[in-house]
Amino acid sequence: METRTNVIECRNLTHYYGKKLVYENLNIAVGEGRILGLLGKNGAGKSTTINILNGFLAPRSGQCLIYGEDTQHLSPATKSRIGYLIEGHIQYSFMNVYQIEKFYSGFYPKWDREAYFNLINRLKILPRQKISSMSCGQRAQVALGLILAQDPDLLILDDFSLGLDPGYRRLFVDYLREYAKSRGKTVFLTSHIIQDMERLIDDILIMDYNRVLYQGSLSDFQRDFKGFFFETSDDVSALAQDPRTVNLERLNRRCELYTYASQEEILALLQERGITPEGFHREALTLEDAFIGLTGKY
Amino acid sequence: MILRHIFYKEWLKTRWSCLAALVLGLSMVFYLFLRVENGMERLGAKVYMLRVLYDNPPLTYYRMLLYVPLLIAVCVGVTQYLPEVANRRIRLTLHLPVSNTRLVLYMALYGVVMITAVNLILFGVFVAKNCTLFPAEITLPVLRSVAPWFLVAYPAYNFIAMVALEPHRWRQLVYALTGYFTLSPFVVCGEYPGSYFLSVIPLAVMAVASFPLLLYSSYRFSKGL
Repeated sequence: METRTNVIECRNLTHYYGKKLVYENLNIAVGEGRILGLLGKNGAGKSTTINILNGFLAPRSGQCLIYGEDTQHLSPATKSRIGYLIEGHIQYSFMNVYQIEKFYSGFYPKWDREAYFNLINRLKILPRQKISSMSCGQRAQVALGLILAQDPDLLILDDFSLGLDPGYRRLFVDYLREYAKSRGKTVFLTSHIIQDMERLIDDILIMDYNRVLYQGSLSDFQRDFKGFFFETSDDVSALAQDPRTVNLERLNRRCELYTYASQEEILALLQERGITPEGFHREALTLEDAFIGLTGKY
Repeated sequence: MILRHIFYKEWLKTRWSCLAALVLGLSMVFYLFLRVENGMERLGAKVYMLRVLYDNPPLTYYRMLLYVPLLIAVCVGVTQYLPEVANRRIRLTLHLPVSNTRLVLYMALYGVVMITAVNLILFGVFVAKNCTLFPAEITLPVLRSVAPWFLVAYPAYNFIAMVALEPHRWRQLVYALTGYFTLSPFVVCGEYPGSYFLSVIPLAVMAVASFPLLLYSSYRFSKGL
C-alpha cells in the first residue's frame, strides 16, 4: 500500500468567534501531491481554516501542522515552501508587474522569473500599469504568476475564483492543475464556484456549520453519494428521520432524496414507510448538485 | 538583502508622500524666513532682533514650524501602513519567509529613517538660514525650542503604526487617544525660546518605549486577536 506523508495535519481543531462556535474537533489531513478542495456555505469556516493554516488566527484549541511545524510558529524556511493566495487575489496594488516581481524575488531562493513573465505576457496590460488599475482577472493572473515563480511545495488558495469571469476561471484552473500535477505540488483550496473544483481537486472536504459533512476522495464521493427523485402525495416526513437519508428536499409533490445508500435500500425504505413513489429514478449528480444535496439549499 | 527589499516596498508606497512632506516642510521654512526678512526690512534688523530677544513675550518667528515634523510623521505613517491594513494586505508581508518581528521592525525602521531624512533636511536648512540672519545668541535658544518638535515625530509615528496595525476598533481608539493626550503637551511653542527644551528627555524615552508596542499590535493583528 502506498503511504503518503501528510503535508497538512489539523488535529482536534476547535474555534469560536466570541461565543459562536465555528467548528469543534475538526481533523484534516492532506497528503503530499494531493489537491484538496474545502467546500462550505458562507460562514461555514473556510476562511477561518485558511487563516489558521497560515498562522493568522490562533484556534481556541487544537493544532495545525504544516510540514510538521505548528502553523502558529512557522519558521521562515517552511513559510518559503508555502504559496498563499488571499481571497480576492489581493496583492500590493501600489506596485506594477515589474516592481512586484522585483520585490518578491528577493525572498525566495527558487524564484523563477520566467514562470512569472510567461503568464504576465499573456495579459493585455501596459508595462507600467499599477495592479490597482487591473481587472480582477488580470490581478488573479499576477497573483498566480507570483506563486508559480515562488515555486512552493504547498499552495493555499483562498476562494481563488472570486470575481473571475468563466474564461479566467478556466485558465486559472487548467494552469493550476497542470502545474500542480506535473510538479507534485500539494494544494489546499477553497472556492465558491463548485464546478471549478470538479476539474481540479483529488480530495474534498465539505463543511457545514459546526461540522464536517464529508471528507475523502472526490471520486469516492461522486460514486457513493446519490440523488433519487420521485413524486408522491404521501407524507414523507418520516423519511427525513431515517439514518440512511442524508437530506430530503420536497417541493409540492416532487421529492429529492440524497443518500449514500443503494437504490435497492432506498426502495425498500420507501416501501417500509408506506410511501408510493411515482417516477422514481436516480440522477447523475454534478459536484454542485451533490454539494447542495448534502448541505441543503438553505 | 531582505532589508533592501522591504525598504523597496516601503519606498514605493511612501515616496510621493515623503516628497510632498519635504516640499511642504521646505516651503514652510522658506516662507518663515521670507517673513523674517520682510520684518527686518520693515523694522530694521536691529529692532527685529531686539523684539526676538527682549519683547515680553519675545517674538517667536519660528512658531510656524510647530506642527511640521508631526505632519511629516503622519504623512509617512499613514501612507506606509494604510495600504497594508486595507484588505488586511499585511498578511502578504507577514507571509514572507522572514520572522514576523523582523519584518515589522524593518518596516518601522524604514519609517524612522524617512522621518529622520526629511527632518534632517528641514532642520539643516532651518539652522543654515537661521545662522545667516541671526547671531548665535538667538540661534541656539531657538534650536532648543524647535528640537522637541522634531523629536515628537518619532513617538507620533509609533502611535500611528500601532493604531493602524491594531485589529480592534475600540483598541485603536484607545491607542489614538493615548497618543494624542500623551504627546499633545509636548507640541507647544513656549513664550520664551528654549523654555521647553528639557522635554526632549521624556520624548526620547517615549520614542524608544513606544517602539515595542508596535510589535504588540502587529502580533495581535497576525493572530486575529
